[in-house]
This record gives sequence, C-alpha cells and structure tokens, in this order.
Amino acid sequence: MMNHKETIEYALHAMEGKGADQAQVVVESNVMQELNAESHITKLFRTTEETQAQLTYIKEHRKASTKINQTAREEIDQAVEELVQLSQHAPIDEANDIAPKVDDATFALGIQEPDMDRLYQSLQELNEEMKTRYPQISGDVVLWYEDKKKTLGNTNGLNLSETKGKYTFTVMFSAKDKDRITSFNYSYASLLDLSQRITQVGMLGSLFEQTIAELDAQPLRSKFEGDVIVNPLCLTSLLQMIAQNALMDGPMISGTSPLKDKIGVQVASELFTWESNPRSPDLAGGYAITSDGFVAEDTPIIDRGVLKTHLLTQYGANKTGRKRAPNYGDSFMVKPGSSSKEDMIQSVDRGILLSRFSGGVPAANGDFSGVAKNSFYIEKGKIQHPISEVMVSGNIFDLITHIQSVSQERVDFGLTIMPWVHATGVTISGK
Amino acid sequence: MDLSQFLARMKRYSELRIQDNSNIILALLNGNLVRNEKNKSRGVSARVFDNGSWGFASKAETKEPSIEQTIFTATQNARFLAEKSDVFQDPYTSPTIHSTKDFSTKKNRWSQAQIMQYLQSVDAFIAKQYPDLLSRLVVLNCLDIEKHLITTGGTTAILKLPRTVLYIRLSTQKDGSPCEMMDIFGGKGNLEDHLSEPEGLSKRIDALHEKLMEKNEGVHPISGFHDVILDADLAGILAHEAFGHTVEADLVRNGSIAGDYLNKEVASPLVSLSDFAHTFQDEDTPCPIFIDDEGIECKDAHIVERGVLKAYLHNRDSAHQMGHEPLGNARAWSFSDEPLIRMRNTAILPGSSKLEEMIASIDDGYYFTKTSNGQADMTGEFMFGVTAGYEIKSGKLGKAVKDTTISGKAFDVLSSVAMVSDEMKWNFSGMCGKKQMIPVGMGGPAIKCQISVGGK
Repeated sequence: MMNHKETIEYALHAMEGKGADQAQVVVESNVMQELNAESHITKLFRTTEETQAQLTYIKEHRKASTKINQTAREEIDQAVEELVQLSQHAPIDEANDIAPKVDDATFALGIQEPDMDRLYQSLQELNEEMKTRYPQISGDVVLWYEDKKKTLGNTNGLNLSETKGKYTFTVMFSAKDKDRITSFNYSYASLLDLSQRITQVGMLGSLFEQTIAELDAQPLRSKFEGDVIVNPLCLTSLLQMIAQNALMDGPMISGTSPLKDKIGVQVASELFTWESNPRSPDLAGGYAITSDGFVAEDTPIIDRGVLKTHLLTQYGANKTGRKRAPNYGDSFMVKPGSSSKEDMIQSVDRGILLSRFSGGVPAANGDFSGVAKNSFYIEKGKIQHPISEVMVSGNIFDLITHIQSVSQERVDFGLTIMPWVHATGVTISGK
Repeated sequence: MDLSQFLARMKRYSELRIQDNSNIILALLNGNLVRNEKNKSRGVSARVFDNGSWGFASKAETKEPSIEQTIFTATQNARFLAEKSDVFQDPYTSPTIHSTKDFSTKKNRWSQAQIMQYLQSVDAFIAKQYPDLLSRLVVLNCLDIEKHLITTGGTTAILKLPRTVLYIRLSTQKDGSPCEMMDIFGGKGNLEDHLSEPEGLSKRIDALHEKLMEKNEGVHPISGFHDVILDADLAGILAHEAFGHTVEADLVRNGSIAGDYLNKEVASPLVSLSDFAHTFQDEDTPCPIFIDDEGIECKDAHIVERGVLKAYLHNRDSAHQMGHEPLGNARAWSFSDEPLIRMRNTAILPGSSKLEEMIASIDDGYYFTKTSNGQADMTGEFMFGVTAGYEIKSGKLGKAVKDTTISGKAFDVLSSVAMVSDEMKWNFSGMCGKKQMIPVGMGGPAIKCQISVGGK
C-alpha cells in the first residue's frame, strides 16, 4: 500500500498524463476507537480505519473531482479515467483553480496517542454518575478518539500536511419521571485530555439538571414580542445558519445573500464580535488546512458589529470577484461581554431563555420560525418555569442587530467557544 | 466475493458485510457547474456479539487478509467489553434465509456527456423561459448502494438499491427580500429510469415557477392554532418524524412518550400508520428492504391500527429486551457504520375523503403542500418547515403563503385528524439523520387536522 506522499505523487502524475492543466490531491487517513453506552451500560466498542483520496482535475478550465477510499494504483487509474469523462463535458469556468504554492508545511494538532484505558474509565464514570446522581436522565453516550492524518499536494508544487488527534463525546438524553417526560437535549465537546469528568465539560452536568427541571414544563397561553437569552449551544446553531444563509459560496454566488454588499457595514450590535479561529490553541478541534488547500488563518467575521469577511472559498472568490476568506467557517468563537448571565436574566421584562431551536432552515431573507426546546419562561427578571410547545419567530439578521448584552461566561465545546447572548424583538407564541 | 468462506472464522454470533456506496453529484448554480463529483466508498465491516456486548470493526480494504483482520478486531473488541461485564446472554439465532434483489436500471446507461447535456438543457430552459429569476439551481444526486451480508447462521443478503434525485430551486425577490421554491424529481432506480422525459419536466418547471410567483406575492400565515390540511408530503414527514421516531425502541428505552402507550389510543380512529418493508399495494416502496443488516427478514410493522398503538420498531437487542418480534428495521448507512434502528417506508394509510371536500370543510385555515425539513422529539413534539401552501377562506383556496413552520405533539395532532384523503403519495428523497444518514421512504394521503402555525 502506498503512503500519502506516494499516493499523491502517483495520482498527480496520472492526472497530468491524462492532460490535466491543473490537479490537486488530498489524502486523509482516519482511525477511530469509539465506545457507545446505552442505559448506563457500555455496549459497543468500534474500531474503524479508512484512507480516502480526493482528486481534482482541471483541463481548459473544466473541472471535476472525485473521492475514493481504495487507493491502489489501479483504483486511482480508474478514478482518473472517470475524472477525464466528467471534466470533458463540464462547462468552461475560469473561476476553477487550485491553491498556489506556499512553503512546505506540516502541522501537528492535538494529541498523537490515545489513552484507551482512560477512555473506557471516563465512560464508566459517566455511566455511574448518570445512574446515581441524575436517575431521571436516560440517554445514549458516544465517546471516541479520532486520529487523522491529512496530506495535500498539487501541480503548483503545494505540499501541506496535518496530523490531529482528539477525544470527542456526544450525549443525547431526556428526563423521565413516571408519566412525565422532557424533550431530548444534547451536548458534545472535543477534548485533548480526559482528566475532567465529562459532566464538567460542554455544560453537560448543568444541562442534566436543567433537563430534570423541564419535567415541570408548562405551555404558555399568550403571544408577545419579547426578549431571548440564547444559550451557548443554541448560539452555535444560529451562527451556522447565518454563515450558510449569507456568507458561504452558495448564497454569495446566487446573489441571495442579504450580506453580500455589507463588508465594512454595521450589521450587528457593536457588542457582538464573532470570530472563526481554527488555529486557536484554545480549541481542541481546530484545523490548519482549508478544504481547497490553503493554510487556514484566524479571522474576525463580525468585529464589534461590523462585517469583516464573507466565507468564500477560492472558487467562490473567483466567481464573485471578491476576496477569498482566511478560512471557511467553523471553529466559531464569540467574544465575551461584560454582563453576568444572572444580570442578563434580571434585565428581561418578558421573554425566554432559549436553549435549543428546533426549526426549519431560515428563508433566504433570514426569516425563521421554530420551536423553543429545553427553554424557560422569564418574567420580571426571573426564570418562572420551563416551557413546552412554544414557538419563536423572527429574523436572524435582525436578531444580531438587536443584541443587548453578551455574557462574561463562555462555554468551551472544543469546536466552538460561546457565551450567552441577550437580544430583543422575537415573537414568542404560546399554545 | 463469496463471504461464506469466512464463516469458519466467525466463532461467536457475527455479521459480516461488504458495502459499496457511490454517488454522483452535479450542481448547476445560475449555469455554473459548482459541483461535478463522483464519489465511491467501499469496505468491509464485522460485528460480533459476546455475552451481551458488541464489537465492531471496519476497513476500506476488502481483500481476504483485511476481512480476516476485521473479524478478528471486532471479536477482540467484543471480548474487551464482555470481560468487564457481568451480563450473561446467549448468542442470537434466527432462521437461515437468503435474498438477492437488484433495482439497477435495465436500460442502456447514459454517458457523462448525455447526463451533462440533459442538465444543461434543463438549466437553459429555465434561463430562457424565466430570465428575470434571481437565481436557479439544478442539482442531480445519484446514489447507489450495494450490500453483501452474511451472518453466523448462514443468512445471506445481496441488495443493489440505486436512487436518483433531481432538485430544481428557483429564486426571485420582492422589495429586496429573496423568495425560493424547490421541486424534487426522481425516485428509486438509476437516472435512466427517471430523466428520459424532458417534456414532462418542462411542464413541472412551469408549474414550479408559477408557484414561486404566487409565493412571492404571498402572505405570512397568521401564527396560532389553526385547522389545516397537510398534503401528502407533510403527512409523510408527520408519519416519519413526528410519530415514527417515537416508536423506535431505542428511543422508547430512553423514555419516549410511546413507551407508555402500547395498545392504547394515540390517534383518531381514522388513522392507521405502518412502516412498510418493501411492498405497498403490490408495488415496490421507495426504499425496499428485504433482509436487514442484522440478517432479519423484513416484514411490515403495523404501528398504529385505527388509532391504537400496536408496535415498536426493533433491532435484535431491543426485541430481545422487550420480548417482541424484530421486523427487520436495523440498517447501516455505510460499510463503517453499525446497524441502528431505522424506519424504512413509513406512511399514514389512505382514507376515503376527497381533497376538494376537505378544503371545502374549512372556514378559516391553511392548505400546506411542501416541507423543507423536520425534527422530532421524545415527547412527540415536532416541527416542520413549510415552504408552500395556501390560505383557506370560506372553504376555498386563497392567497399563497410564505415560508413558515408548523409544530405540535404527534399524538395530539393525529388525534385531531378529522378527514383523510383517498389519494396516497410517496416521497422518495428522504434522508434520515440519527448518528448516521439513511435513505427512507415517507408517504401518506392529505389529512385534515389542527396544528400550531409559526407565522412570521
């Protein structure tokens, strides 16, 4: 079996031999050791191994790509034949390109060797803690170590590689007590070591407590325009919606992005600073190389309310005549504010603490509506009770302009670091 | 490859699977080919049962030594957990059965040039016919799944299941606010089975454009609790998301609302709901499965019969724990995935009402026709994105409505069903996400019920 470098050299040579003007290859090997627990019992142990090669072929500005997980010479030869076919009938597009040559670089992220005994022990501790300390909670836990090696080369002479290893957990759970049950809740985090109890990471322990409190959820009987305090998990998903609706290639090329001409313009409250920092040492789950072969850099997306960048790839940038982004999203961090979470709640006259938004994909203009899950009603500065069957609707672009405060406290999920955010002007509809 | 040669190495209860997933994705955005990909994923996995614990391993290489190593690693993984466990459980057994099914096209395969020419002709038709659109997107996604399975008992299954989905999304705007509408074409089978009638497609594109223009001039629904008609698309996702997930036995084990309702009334007597294995009214379902990835023969699961909850969906473990018969619901997405409890073809069964009389029966409400996505919950609480529909005023269709969300509790909404249409439609493009993705079929007639509408 060829190693990464040999695979890249062979595939580049094969594509050039078939007439490619430009070619690029990314080889990625992934070994995962995963433990799964259900009903407090570790039930399944998985080991998976896979190497994938992504080949990009461009001839006369016609582009095609393929991803294969069989990387013997004959498999690569067959993939290249198919790429030639795919590209021959593609339209000419001068925006197609590959990454330029930069100095060779190797990036080592995270940990290189897992502690499998500790992995098992951590899961057993969580099983035991869930059983004894949170008996109303039941759910499924997945805890794994993932070791990735990625190497990238192209016909411009580019040669980059990245190794990264990290632990990750996901827990999906709900609470049940006799005939009362709650919505499911979840948390996740990536970690570089397992020295902490898992319940102390990614809000998990506090979410268990909050979910048990939700057994007393009540519907709201009114509809009003009020405030929301968005929790860190929910803020991550709202920011992903904004990125997908307004900042990435699709909405920018199609012209549907409401933020397409807003670089340098105030698009959010000046209290709001949103960054994408894949190179930050504070994140366990960052990355050093973009999907199209550039060295990723940290960047503010919105700095004190002003839009600083879209998230355009090389293709998106060429296509729109705009600037390629230093990275293409994820690894989001929102800067902390000056309010405590408690102060934020006290400042709300009427609204909800929004912990999970279960809603449709927002419309192209940012309008959203969905169910406020795992959420709590706030009135006169106090959390009154957990809620059920309450819908929230508004506009995601309006929401970030209506931010009133950002919490000092933040939660580190390894993949993102997020505070609580208080915004106004959301429609809250009870039953 | 003949997998039976490895049976001697599968000493404990084991499943051995070789699987190929391949897909073609072509996407034209405003005429630009933004995706032109052909991806392949092939590999072998083994799952081994040891005293109540499971070991799993997978490798992309499928040569003999690699398969032997995969079985060995899975066996070791199962032993690792079994040694730490105080559970004792006999190995699983089931009747030895065999199935070979191939849904690949029998027509001549298109060349890459023909495929691209077809997509470009569709795109050119839209561009020429409707030059004032803000954007147009044409995406072809062809998925081919091929599975070869053998279990310790000698059960064998071979399934070749292709699926073709063509998405067309048109966008316009009003007062600077974008408005989109999408339609989906295709179904089970290869693209040659579905994309050979450009004439028919142009008519549907005209219809899509007309609906987009209606929506662009449409109104935001008024939020609140309304009488509505959910057309087949929404009834299907209601069957899958809102109800189907609550009866998956892993969710029942974790406290789903359905756990307290077996053999109790959960819906209007007008409602019957099933998860079909492979056949409905003598025709193949969109996602026909004959033997699941645990080697169990697939049978229909009649979940709700005339409003009464009658069954859960199981894998081997959950069926054993609850003392029920497994009906073949354990499926895995790729070679490197373990089988999970999944729906196959979930549908509300048709009734006897006509759609026209259902609309006429509503004084002030909505007729919702298309959905973007949906989410479910342990409580049966659900939400769907709605992307198309109309007001109903005094028994007649009114203005089109803009994007909104509907939500409710599955048992409450199904209990409010007052009419069920006699026309059954299947949705073939569903992909369900639950740790892994998996193709599913969803279906239903139009139903009249009461539901919470998000409004603006």
